[in-house]
Order: sequence, then structure tokens, then C-alpha cells
Amino acid sequence: MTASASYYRFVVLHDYTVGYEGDCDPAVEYCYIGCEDDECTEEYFYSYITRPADELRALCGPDITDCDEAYECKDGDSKCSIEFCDPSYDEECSDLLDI
Amino acid sequence: MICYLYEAPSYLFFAADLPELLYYSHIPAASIALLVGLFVYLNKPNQLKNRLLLYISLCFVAWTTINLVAWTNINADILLFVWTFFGILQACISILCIYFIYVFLNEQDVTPKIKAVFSLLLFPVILFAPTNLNISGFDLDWCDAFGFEGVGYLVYYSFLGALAMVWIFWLLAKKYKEVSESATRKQILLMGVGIELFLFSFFTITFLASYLANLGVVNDSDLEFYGLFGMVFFMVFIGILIVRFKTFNIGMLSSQALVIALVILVAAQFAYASTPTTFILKIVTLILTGLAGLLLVHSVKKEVKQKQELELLSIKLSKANGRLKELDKLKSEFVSIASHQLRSPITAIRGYTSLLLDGDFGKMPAEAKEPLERIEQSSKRMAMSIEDYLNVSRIESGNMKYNYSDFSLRNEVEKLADDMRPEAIKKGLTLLFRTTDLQGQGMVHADIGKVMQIVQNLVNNAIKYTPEGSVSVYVRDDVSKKMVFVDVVDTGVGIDADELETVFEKFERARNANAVNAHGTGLGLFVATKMAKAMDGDITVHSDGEGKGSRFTVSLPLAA
Repeated sequence: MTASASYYRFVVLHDYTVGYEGDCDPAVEYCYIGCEDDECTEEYFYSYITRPADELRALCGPDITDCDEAYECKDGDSKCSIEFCDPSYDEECSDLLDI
Repeated sequence: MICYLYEAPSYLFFAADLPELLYYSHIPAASIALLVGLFVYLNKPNQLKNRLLLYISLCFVAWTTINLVAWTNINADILLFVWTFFGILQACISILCIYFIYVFLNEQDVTPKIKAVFSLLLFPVILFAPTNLNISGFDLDWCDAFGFEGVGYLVYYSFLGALAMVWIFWLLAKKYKEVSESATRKQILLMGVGIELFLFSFFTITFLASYLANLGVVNDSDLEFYGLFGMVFFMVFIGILIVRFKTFNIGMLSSQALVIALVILVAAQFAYASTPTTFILKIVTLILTGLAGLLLVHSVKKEVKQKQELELLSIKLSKANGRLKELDKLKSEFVSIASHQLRSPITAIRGYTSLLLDGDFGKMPAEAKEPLERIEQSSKRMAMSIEDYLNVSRIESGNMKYNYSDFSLRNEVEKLADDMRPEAIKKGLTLLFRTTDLQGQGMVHADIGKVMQIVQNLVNNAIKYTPEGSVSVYVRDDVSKKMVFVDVVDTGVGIDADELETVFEKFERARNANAVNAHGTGLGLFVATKMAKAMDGDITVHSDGEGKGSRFTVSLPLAA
């Protein structure tokens, strides 16, 4: 029963949330800071997007590579959110003044 | 949805750029668990504890498999589907371990009440597994669902692991105090260390390492792989229990266990096969190791089987020997009683026959003389046989008495030879007595009656078993050995070499003896040799073979 319910939910309905890194302009927003390599010789900035998997799948198919719609939330789409870094809460955010 | 930053795995969970320890920790641990679980189950499928061990192994194998899938797969749908079962499997392992220990310690199923408690503990984990309480989403960048796991659900099934450790420890400690046998205590200790090590490493190290890696406290998330080795240790302890204590009612050879472990270790090397050449070499090594192992196990098994058969035979023989001794004792007692009962009437028969022959009851008719002489001879033989039986009985019960004194063996033997000469002459034989210059004057320290009984027996035998020729009796001594010897040499039927060793045994007679004399009991030489040995002497025999005569030598200690 559990296996069937789980299979139906995740594989058939795609009823879950997906999170992934979105674009972020450090001149405008506080961004999360990521590293390009293990030694963190090069940094990049990102926001964090969450949205229902079935919606994203409808927009882009199973792969979001080369899918611009994946990186923006449409107005009125309450289940899609783009989260930026919050300096009062997160430890490492990009600093607007430095950019 | 696809994790766009990673490459898809081949064959479900073989992906590049993953830590080699991932496979080395997962595949051998799962293989060992599966092999041991199946081995125990297939040997005794009807045993509950064997089934429970298999269930624990299967849950562990399922967990390692979905963990490999989670590490390597990039399809979010599949990953989330399998991710659902982490909690269920861990909860099941916890509860099954408690259940297993209950049955292991008490050799019986748990009460329905405890089963209800187990079910209640498992119920929330199973019920909420497909819901958001367990897992709500997926991170496409990290390709995992850690960030979307329900904290309450995670804490609950982790708590079951901790509960299992405490519960099992309490059960084992309680039982350990109750029992007093060293072997049982050792089994409890081994099982306790094995299962607690497994639960601790599986629940604590695995998740602590993963948690710390996610927090960034440690950089190397490979640490979580070490947690799986706890299962290997648990299975090693199970193996020790099987080999040393035959736990799970399985007879297993240590060689089998070692070969299995060796094959698994060699097989685990596949995780490091980076080139086709090393892959082929590892396959060849595995096949050769497997074949050598099979031969070794086969050979050891054969030897153990032979040893077991010998042990079984030895036990049977020991029992049979005990029974024979008992029967022999009973027989001796019977012979003793029967002989005593027979001796009185035979004495009367001999006495009255002698009186009749001597004419004490008036002149006997001539035709009655021969039957009376036959009665006298037969009763004499019977009296001698009875005396032999009684002597055997006395010797075996330790009741033979010896009255020691110093006497001249030379003189006594000479007298005996003179007394027996008419009997020899009657049979057409020559009976000679010879002696050398005796330095010790032929004086011995022994029971004169017994000694003369021995010598008389030997001379009597010599006369009986010599159809023609002579019987010679020699007395000699050896001062350096402090012994006096009496040789009784005849030109009679002789004895075969293979019978020389057995002529002194009870009821033993040479094969050709019956042809010459059918009346022997086979006890005379047995009694004679026992008596000689009891007086620190001995009797030996020499014969060149059938028809070549024989020489019996009595040795007795020289008087001080």
C-alpha cells in the first residue's frame, strides 16, 4: 500500500516540490554565494526557486536545462517562489554596497 | 524531473566520479548480510530466530540498495519513490532487532502484547511514509531530498533506532545476570556486542556523519559509509556464534565461514577495478579463490565427517565395552556360584568311586571296573575344570590368595617330574628332568602350591599335546636377573606363530588342540599366567610352528 501510494504520488502525479538555484543580480538583490569548485577559487551568486514539480514539468519537461521559464515565477502563481538571501538570517549573503 | 548537473548512471547505480568507498562499503556489507541471512534461514527455515535474522538482512540489503540508488540516480521521481522507504526500513530494522533478541534469548516467540507494541511503534512510520510529513520535495542542484525531509518523521524513526539499542541492552543484561553457564553467557556477550555495534554504527555514525557533512562541520560525507561496516561485524559475530556454539542449530565449519569471507573480500575488490585488465584479473582471482575454497571445504568436510563417525564409533564401542565388562562380571559370578555348587557332588562322586574301586564296599564284579574307572577319570577332569573356573573367578574378582615362602623350585619340579613320569610313559613318551649348576640353588620366593599348579599344568599340557617323542623339564637360573626359570619342552603338535600371542587368553585354545584333546577349557594357561604374574613372574611360549613342538618357560623371582 505504502509503495503504491508513494509510486502514484511521485512517479505518476509528480506531486512534490522542486528546489533549484535561480538567477540573482547582486547589484539588485542579496544573493546566496556558491562556489564553482571544491576549493572555492571562484564564486557565483544565486537565488533559490521552489515550485511544484508537475508545473515545472508542464513548462519545461523533465529537464530544466535551456528552459528560461524555469527561472521566473508568473504573477499570481502562489506556489512558485524565488527566495533571496536574508542577511539577518543567512550567514553568507552578497553585500549590495560592495557591488 | 532530472538533476541537470549530473550524468545518468549505468545499470541503475553505477556512476562516474563517485567515491570508491561508496561501492566498497555498500556492496560487500549487503552481500555478507544477504549470504549469512540466507545461509542461516536455509539451514533451519522453521526456526523463528533464523527467519528474523533473514528479515533483518533483507531490510539491510534493501536499505543499502536504495541508498546506492539515491547516491547515483538523477531522476527525481525515482529518487523520491525510493527515498520514502529509508524511514520504513530503518524502523523495521530497529523493531526486528529487538524481536530477534527476544527470540534469541528466550527460544520462543514474544507475547501478543509485545507484538502489539512493535506494531504500534511501526504504524506511524508506515502510515506517513508517502506523505509530506516524510518528504515533500527535491533539490535539483544537490540531487537529494535532505532539505525536504520532515523533521518529526526523521526524529521518530531515528528514535526507534536509539530505543532498539537501549531495549536490546536491557534484555541482554537481564538475561546475562539470570544465566550462570559460561557458554550461554559468552553467546549473550557475542550477540550483544555484535548487534549493538551494528545498530550504533548504522544509526549513529551513518546519520551523524551525513548530518555533520550537510551542516558543513565536516567536509567529507564519505564518513557515513563507515557506518555500514557495523553490519559486517555483526555478521562476523553471528558466524562465530554459529561455528563455536552451533547457535541457530546450524553445524558450520570454520573453514566454510572463512572461505565465504575470503570470496566476499575478493569480490569486493571489483569496486576498485578501474581498467578492463584489472577487472579480468580480479575475475580470475575470484574464480581461483572460489575453486580453492571449494576444494578446501570439501576436504575439511570429509575429514570432519570421518572424525565424527570415528567419535560415534568410539562412543558405541565404549558402551559395548562397558556392557561386555558387565556381562563378563555377571558370567564370572555365575561361574563361581555354579562351580561351588558342582564341586561338592563331584567330590562325593570321586570319593565314592575311589572307595568302590578300592573294594571298600566289597569286591566289585570285573565288568563294573572299567565303567567305574571311566567315572573316576571323567569326574577328575570335571573337578579340574571346576577348579579352573573357580580360579578365573577368584583372579577376576581379586580374591586369589597367595601364601609366600622360600622353597627350592628345583627339588619341587624334580618331584613333580617323577610323579608325572608314569603318566607320560603310559602314553609312550619320555619325561626327562634336567638342571644346570644352579648358583642360587633354585630357591624362589612364591606360593609353592600355585607354582606347582602352574608347572603341573604345563607338564600336563605337554603330555596331552605330544603324540610321540618326549617331554623335557629344565630348571635353570640367572643370578644377574635374579630369576629362576622352568622350561617345559615337548616334541608335540606345536603352535602356529599367529596363535602364540593368544594362547594365554581366556578360553583360547590352539586350532590343532581339539584334534588331540577335546576336553580342554582354554582356561589353564590363562590361570597359570595370571598367577605367575601375580607372583612377579611370567610365562612365555616359543614354537617353530605346527608339528614342531613347543617350549613354555615359567620365570619366578629368586629368593633374596
